[in-house]
Amino acid sequence: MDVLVEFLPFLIPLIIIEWILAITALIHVLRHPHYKFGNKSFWIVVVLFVQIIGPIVYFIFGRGEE
Amino acid sequence: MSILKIENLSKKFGGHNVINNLSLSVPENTIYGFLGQNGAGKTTTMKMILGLLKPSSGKISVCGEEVTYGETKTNRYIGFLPDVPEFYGYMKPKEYLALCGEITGLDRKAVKAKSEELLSLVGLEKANKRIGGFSRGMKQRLGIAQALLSEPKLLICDEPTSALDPIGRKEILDILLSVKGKTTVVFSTHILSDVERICDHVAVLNNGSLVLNGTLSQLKQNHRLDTLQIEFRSSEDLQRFAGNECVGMLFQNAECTDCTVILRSKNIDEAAGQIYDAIYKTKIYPVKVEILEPTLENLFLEVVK
Amino acid sequence: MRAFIAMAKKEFLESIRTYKLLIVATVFLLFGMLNPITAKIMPKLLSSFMPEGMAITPGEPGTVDSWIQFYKNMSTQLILFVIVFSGIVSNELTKGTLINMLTKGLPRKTVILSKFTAIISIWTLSYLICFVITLIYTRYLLPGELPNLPFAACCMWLFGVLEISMMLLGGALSGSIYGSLLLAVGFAGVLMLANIFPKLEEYNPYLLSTGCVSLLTSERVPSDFYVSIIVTIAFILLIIISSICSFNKKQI
Repeated sequence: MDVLVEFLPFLIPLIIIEWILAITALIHVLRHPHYKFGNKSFWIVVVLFVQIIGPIVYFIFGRGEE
Repeated sequence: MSILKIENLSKKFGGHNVINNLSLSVPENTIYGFLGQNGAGKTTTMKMILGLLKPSSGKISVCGEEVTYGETKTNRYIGFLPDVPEFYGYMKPKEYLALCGEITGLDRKAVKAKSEELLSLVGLEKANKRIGGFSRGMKQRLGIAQALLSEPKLLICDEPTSALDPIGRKEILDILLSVKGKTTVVFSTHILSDVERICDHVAVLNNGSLVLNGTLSQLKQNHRLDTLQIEFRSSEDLQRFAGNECVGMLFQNAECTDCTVILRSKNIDEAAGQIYDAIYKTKIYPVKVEILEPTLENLFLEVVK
Repeated sequence: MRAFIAMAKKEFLESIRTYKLLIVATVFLLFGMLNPITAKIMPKLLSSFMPEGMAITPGEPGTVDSWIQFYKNMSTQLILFVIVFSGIVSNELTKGTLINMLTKGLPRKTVILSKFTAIISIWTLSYLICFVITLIYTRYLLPGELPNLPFAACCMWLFGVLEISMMLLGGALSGSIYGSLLLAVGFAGVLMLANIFPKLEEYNPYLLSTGCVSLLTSERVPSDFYVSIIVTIAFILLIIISSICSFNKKQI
């Protein structure tokens, strides 16, 4: 429990960032159904379940041209 | 005064001559059609006018000022529409035009008013979404809008219609026609009907040199073939008519196909007179008697042979 | 000047709307938090993995450990930054989006200068985020005073500027993403190789990225870095000038 309290100032922002990333990416996946590879359901899973790395990979490699 | 003047322009890519000693001049307030097959050197010439490519030799001047390669001041007179205009897909049309205005150094308020006017001219006033989602035709229209933003004296369009469907083509041509009088338009194409529809001056480029140059009516006049086409109701009529002694001479070098005959004569008026005399005498009435006008297609095929 | 500001603004807009700024800022922020945490937890983790009866026990982590993490991770972050922005010149060349701008009389040097300004601002911003977050959390987790902290940070920052300008030059020379990446990575490789010669170390810009920790431990003093800083700035200027020159000659 002490450890948890000590790291709380990290965990809270971390979770916030995680969710901001995931939701931004999710909105983008849903609104722009063109990807360099993969399909919509694949990217939804990646973006929501691979925390932090998933959305970043999506924006760098998966996002199609507008 | 000529707004664009090209003198002895040549361009080599590797050892290959793309443009060969090209000279032409574009008079003010005309729509100048720049015809040629694919690969004839139209785009290369245009890029040299814009200073994007370096000519191997020769001189280009716009509004009396010489074009220099790289950064050229003459571009302030020119609006350019590339064959496939590319935009920043993440911008909206108004944002893009505002950026263009900043770069040209126009007044901000003037740009705002001008871009609304232009967007409604090209029919994009309601397209308030990012350019990335535009269709080919919409991009072409936006391309015209950005080219006209600075009210250029010379508008250069590289194949503005070739990628579009017939309706889109007509709309683009109408837009070009509507700016005539304010702006000189030079546009390249390989679609002959586009030229016939709006151009008053035509130049044909073949293998990097100019093979035909002049106003449309002038060209047709000069290349007028003395040809007469007569169409009869049936081939028997044609045979009987040809047997008449008044036209016997004319029919000696005629091309007969089924019911029609094509006659050539040095003096077309005299030949026509003889034909009408024969009609009167023989009482054989043809369906059609026509002096053939040379079409642009004939001219074009003839010169690029 | 108006064209320059307009183009720089366009670059910022681009990095926002293509999510580049979001990615870079988030990653730098996360690393900023990760640095002190790793420093704090690492010894505990290590000792729990150590076989029983091992004589060496890792010491208590100190303030400097957090900053060791910072400089170690910053190289990775710099690589990521370069990858994300590697297309800044070449994408416009291959797509042809610059043709409309250049035929409107936009000077070519403005293109390079505005891109340079924008990308360096973004680099500075991201770097600052990472630095400040690491600073705050280190104070909280591993409090302590260190010498030359801001100076060391500036050295690494300057090394980043050098690499990023090399990436721009690569784009202007080759017109492709791979050219950008190759030149930036290749240049870092050359600097690393040059580091074999101890005599060159003082002049080598590479010192700015590897020597930061030694400033914090007082092994080196700031004056040891002055020559290297001057060399780096000279390099950056040279790179910008050559980018402009090569871009001016480019057939578009």
